[in-house]
Amino acid sequence: MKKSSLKRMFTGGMAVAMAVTMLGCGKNADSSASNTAKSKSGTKNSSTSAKSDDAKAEKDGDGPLVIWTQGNSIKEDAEAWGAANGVDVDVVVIPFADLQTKLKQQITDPKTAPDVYAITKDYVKDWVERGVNLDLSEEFPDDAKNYIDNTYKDLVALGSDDKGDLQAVTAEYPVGMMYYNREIAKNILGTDDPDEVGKALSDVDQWPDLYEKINDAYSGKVKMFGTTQNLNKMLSNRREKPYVKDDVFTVTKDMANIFEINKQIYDDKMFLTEKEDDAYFSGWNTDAFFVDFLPSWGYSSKFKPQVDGKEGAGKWGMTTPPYAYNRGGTYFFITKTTSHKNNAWDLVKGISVDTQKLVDVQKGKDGFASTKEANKILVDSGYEEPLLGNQKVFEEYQKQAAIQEKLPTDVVTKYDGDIESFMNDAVINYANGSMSLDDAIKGLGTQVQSAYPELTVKYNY
Amino acid sequence: MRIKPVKKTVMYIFLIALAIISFFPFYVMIINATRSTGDILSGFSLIPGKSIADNFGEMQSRVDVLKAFRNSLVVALSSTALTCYFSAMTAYGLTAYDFKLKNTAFTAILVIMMIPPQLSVIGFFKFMKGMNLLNSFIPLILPSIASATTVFFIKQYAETALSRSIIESARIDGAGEFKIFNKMALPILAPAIFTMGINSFVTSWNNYLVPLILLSDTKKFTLPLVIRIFNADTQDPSVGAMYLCIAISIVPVMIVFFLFSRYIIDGIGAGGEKE
Repeated sequence: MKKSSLKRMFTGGMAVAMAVTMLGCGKNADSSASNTAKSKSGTKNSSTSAKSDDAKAEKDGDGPLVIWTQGNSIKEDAEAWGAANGVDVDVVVIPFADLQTKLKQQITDPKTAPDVYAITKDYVKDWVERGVNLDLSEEFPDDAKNYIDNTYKDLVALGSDDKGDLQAVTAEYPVGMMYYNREIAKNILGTDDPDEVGKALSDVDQWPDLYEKINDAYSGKVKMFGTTQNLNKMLSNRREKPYVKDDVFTVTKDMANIFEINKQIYDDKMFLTEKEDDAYFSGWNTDAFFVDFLPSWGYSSKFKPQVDGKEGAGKWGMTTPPYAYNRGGTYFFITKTTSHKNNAWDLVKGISVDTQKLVDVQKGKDGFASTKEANKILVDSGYEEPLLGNQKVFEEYQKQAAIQEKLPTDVVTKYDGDIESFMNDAVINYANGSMSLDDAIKGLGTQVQSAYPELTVKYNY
Repeated sequence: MRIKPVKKTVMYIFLIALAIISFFPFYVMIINATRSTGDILSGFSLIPGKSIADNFGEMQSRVDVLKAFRNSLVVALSSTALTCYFSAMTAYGLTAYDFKLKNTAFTAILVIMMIPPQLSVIGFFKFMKGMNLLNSFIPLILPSIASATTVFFIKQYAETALSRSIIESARIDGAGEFKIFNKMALPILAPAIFTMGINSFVTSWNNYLVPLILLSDTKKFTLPLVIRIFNADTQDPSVGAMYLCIAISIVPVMIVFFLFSRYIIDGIGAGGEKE
């Protein structure tokens, strides 16, 4: 058969296969939640909280309620809410790396700005201070007060401006935990009890001795930590002062201490990988490391996909980390330019404040809700997680939340996301021997200065 | 010329190795489309998985792949057609005619080629916003009319393939300039046009940055934006579904390449023959 005929046959075959696949891919318009009737002013909704008289009187405009987020779970929740309430909801999922840029370009123009947007914790302060958001304390005072009274204070503080007015709400409390391998714990510490394991790792100065025992027992095949990235996310929360105050970024002794801790870890080769890569993910099933640090949402996104149905199932436990840390979480803002104020607030409340909704969502993914009322229901359920050796996971979160809530709330600034990213690079450069401590720290200062020319950099380490 | 058996064997081994290396990434992509997210993140495998149905369901629940596919097809085909036709016209004009500032115009085209497209994105966004053309395909398609790289390539080809004597004889026979271009120049320039057409189609099909900046309406999203959505959620990534969507998205590119690849070879060879 001629070559050109073969080529044509192959091309035709591919085209037919693609057409069949596309027919299967086509979404049924009737099943799509976003194709419901357009939003109408004064649409009935599932809100149970009272609104102020002014908010009720102000009717919503026409057109869909537009939400920008990087989270697919938010898309599902928002579309389900829209379908249940007869509101046309258009959720735009934008990758994290691009969301900031797109928002900054379009947030102030009513024609292009979304009605609601969801931002991760690292950038919440930046957006709170931009003055582009609806003041929830002013627009919905009763609901805002309910949220403030019922929610953990560090979450409220992060979503509030300098005057204490609420601008953003969140659905989850990202409690920072430490996962440990039970068999290694029994072998090295003689117990896999969460409290005992937590105590054994509570002192940074004891880590080298503990690692020596692990090394001797496993001939170097088991590392102490899964990743330095997750370790440093925990260590960086130790600070008692903000990175930046009065436009001055100061490199403190605490920050320099993180460099030294990492140097020791690198010198002794105490970690498996720097970042979450193939070796790290497979390590959950191959006893490759002893502990790793993941927040409550890490259970469903990182831990469970790796161990469910595999060798690691039931071999891990969860306990208090050496230092309490708050990592991640998504906050919802309503833009000032929105013409769907009421529906926007009802949506945000429906997916982030409504108690039963919080319980249902967090129960499904072994997470922890933002409100104490929802968490009490989760804890009282007495649920035992088989993948964690039948540990009462919500109880563990509750214990840690009580510690974490006491962390100082005024240490978070809008610069934190970028500063921690720069610091991570500088720490690696020093720890792996590429740079001296002074050069690495000066490099950090230079990067911060370049990113934020308005800041002054000081060194006090 | 006869090639010795040993040399032939070595050549074949080398070519087979090159073919395997070239095809390997596609093979891994197809394999990953059948594996779960957890399996993909935890390691590499050459053996197909059992999660293709789950990935398919996940893909359908997260994005409207068919709509995005249609959007990409509309944008890519339209912009390719415009690029090919108008760039050929420009190249023909620079080759067939002598006029003042001809060299200046060509130099300007060369300079524009050097400018990275990322530099003009923000200004382009503000321009389109001012013209109320956000969330529209027009700014994705119309600017393709002016493609400096395509003009440059076709002009280089036209200088060797297009003879002025043919154009003169057509004029003598009474053909108008537009007719000469459409009936005579375009068929002669076909190899170069198809070569740059494939390139233009692939570039437009894979374009991520400009649609990201200009489009916020999910119904207008193109395939690259939709593919990126799978990995957007750091708390709930869907890598398996992403690979499946990528596998689907490259099929049109492969079809275009298989249909028109002989023109690339013709285009490369034609300029080397002496009359």
